[in-house]
Amino acid sequence: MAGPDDQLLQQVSKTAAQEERNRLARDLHDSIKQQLFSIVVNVAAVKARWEHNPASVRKIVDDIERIALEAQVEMQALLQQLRPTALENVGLSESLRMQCQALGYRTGAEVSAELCDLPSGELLPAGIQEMIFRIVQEGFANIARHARASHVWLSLRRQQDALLVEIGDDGQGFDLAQTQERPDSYGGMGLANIRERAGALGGIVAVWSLPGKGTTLHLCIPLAKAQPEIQAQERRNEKLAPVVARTRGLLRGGTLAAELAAALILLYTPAFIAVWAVLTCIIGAFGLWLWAQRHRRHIYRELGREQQVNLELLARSYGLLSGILLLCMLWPNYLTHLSDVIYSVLEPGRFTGDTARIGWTAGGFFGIFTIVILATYAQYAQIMSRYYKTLSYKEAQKEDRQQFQELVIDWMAWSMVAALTVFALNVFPTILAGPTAQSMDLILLFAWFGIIVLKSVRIVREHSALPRLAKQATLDEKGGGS
Amino acid sequence: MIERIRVVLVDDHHVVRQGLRTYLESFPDLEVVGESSSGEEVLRHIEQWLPDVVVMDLLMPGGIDGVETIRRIRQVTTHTQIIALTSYTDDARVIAVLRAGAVGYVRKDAAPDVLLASIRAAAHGQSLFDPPVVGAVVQELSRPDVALSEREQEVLRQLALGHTNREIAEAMMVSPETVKTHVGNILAKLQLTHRTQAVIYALKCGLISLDDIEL
Repeated sequence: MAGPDDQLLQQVSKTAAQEERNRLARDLHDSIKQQLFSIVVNVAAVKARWEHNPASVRKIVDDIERIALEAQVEMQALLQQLRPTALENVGLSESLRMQCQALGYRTGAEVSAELCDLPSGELLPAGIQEMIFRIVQEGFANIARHARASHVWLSLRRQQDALLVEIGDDGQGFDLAQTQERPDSYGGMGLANIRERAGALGGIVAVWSLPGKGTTLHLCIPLAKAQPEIQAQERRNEKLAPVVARTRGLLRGGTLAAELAAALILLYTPAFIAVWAVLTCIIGAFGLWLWAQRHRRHIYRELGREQQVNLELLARSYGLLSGILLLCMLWPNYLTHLSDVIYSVLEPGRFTGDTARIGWTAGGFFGIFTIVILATYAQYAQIMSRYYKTLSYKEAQKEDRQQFQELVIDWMAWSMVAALTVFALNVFPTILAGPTAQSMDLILLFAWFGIIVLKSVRIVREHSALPRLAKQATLDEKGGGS
Repeated sequence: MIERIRVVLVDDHHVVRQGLRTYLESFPDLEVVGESSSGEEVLRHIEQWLPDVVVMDLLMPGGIDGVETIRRIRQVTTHTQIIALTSYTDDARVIAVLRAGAVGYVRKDAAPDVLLASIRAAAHGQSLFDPPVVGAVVQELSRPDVALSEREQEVLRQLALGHTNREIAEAMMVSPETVKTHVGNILAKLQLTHRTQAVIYALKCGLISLDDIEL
């Protein structure tokens, strides 16, 4: 379904295409058509002189050859304007020289070009090169159409962090104040196009013109001062890439170990196996976590704390740490049956003496651990949201989708394990596992539930922030384009 | 020795002037006595060159165009005959050129000897048209003659350029009421009902060219 905006856009692009065709037709008419005409009359002259004045024919044939060659250059210059890929093949300087030559043939003016060695491709991306080419093309078209110049010059100079382009002619000039009344003049449409193109590069255009004295156009394009810094940053990123990948791998390994431990608990592994297996997993996960931190510290020192990669790794680290802490809280139950104590204290009338002491100890242990785990998780959530803010709209969208998928899987897995638990507790209460395994399973199930709920809240909040990010993205685009 | 036909070439393209000069000077009865790249330049030298025939390009950007140049040359001298040499063959332009006082109209696409014949004919006070152009000429001749006064023609021209009555009045230094009367008379004479139709009429009969109202 095409909305009015689409139609307008189509209309605009159609008009632009038509304008381009008109320009091309005018250029062809102004250049090659005239040369062909000249060749035709010169050939007619040769035929007329062949019999009675053969001596003069030689010079005319030379003229014909010269004009044909000029026509070729003009044709080449026009093709260059049609196919910007030519810029990539022969480079900006060479393309501009050809345009100068063609302008000379077309107007009969003497065209000089003074082109400095252009900055390397990294500093002068193809987009800027094409823009410069188009601006010169527009300027030359104006000169050919309006200036009646006998001298034209083009210079390209580099001054510190800027590229200066000068297009000048000694033609008839114009009154800058009157340009608005003559929209087809140098100062009208042509200049508006030039300004628009330059603006897109963050460039500045200045035009001087005096009737009878000629016109000079200055264009200044900044060569992005921060470019070397960005490059250095990119180089650093490149150098750090393997370290980042290794850190991610370590954290993933740690997470896998923690998940394995959780699986062992959730699947009622008998206590005498689980006590060692879970401990191994915890130690493994913690070891990997520590190892990852060493790499992460290196990345942090190189890039800084608020750098996107560091934030991402830091958040993951906190996430893993909160998981490990949760396991650490659960594991001692295999040895001390603390959870049994909790069950027993819940029975009225038994909360006295030793039981009370053990009850307080157990409560304190669980309480402190819970607080630490929650604090760690809060850190994780907070850093995660900081990380989100460094993402562009597209990246955030991708991340959002990924997290949402993860969340769905989490909920499904939790539901399945919960169903299994209920089923197992009711059908084989004693065959599968002892009370320790059962209580561990219940606690972990509840903890897991809590974690997923928190995660859901976080993801929903981040998701609802997306539209604002989208608006920002379109604003940025508009701001950059004007 | 026979008297040679004195020819002046006007074209903003050097390559065209060079070719034409070489071609025309191949014939002993022709002599190129001057060439210029703009209307202003030829007007400065026309009395000095005093050519029999001027071969004139119509499109010369950056100054007065061919039609205007023809008009002014005719004001300076009636001896000189003018032939338009151009790539464009729209009827409006042909009519405008002929009204301005040219005796010939030759396309650049035509064979060179058409131009040659036209120059020779013009030098003897005859008109010889490039065949594809004749249609427009015949049509123009067969059109019922409507006599607009000079004043009315000027108003119509201004009207066609998109000016309002007030602007026309300022430009012609008359009151807006007078302009209004002129516009009414023009529409009545041309049997038109709306200003827009008047613009189209002005275009068709060559009072203005599309170049003038380029947007």
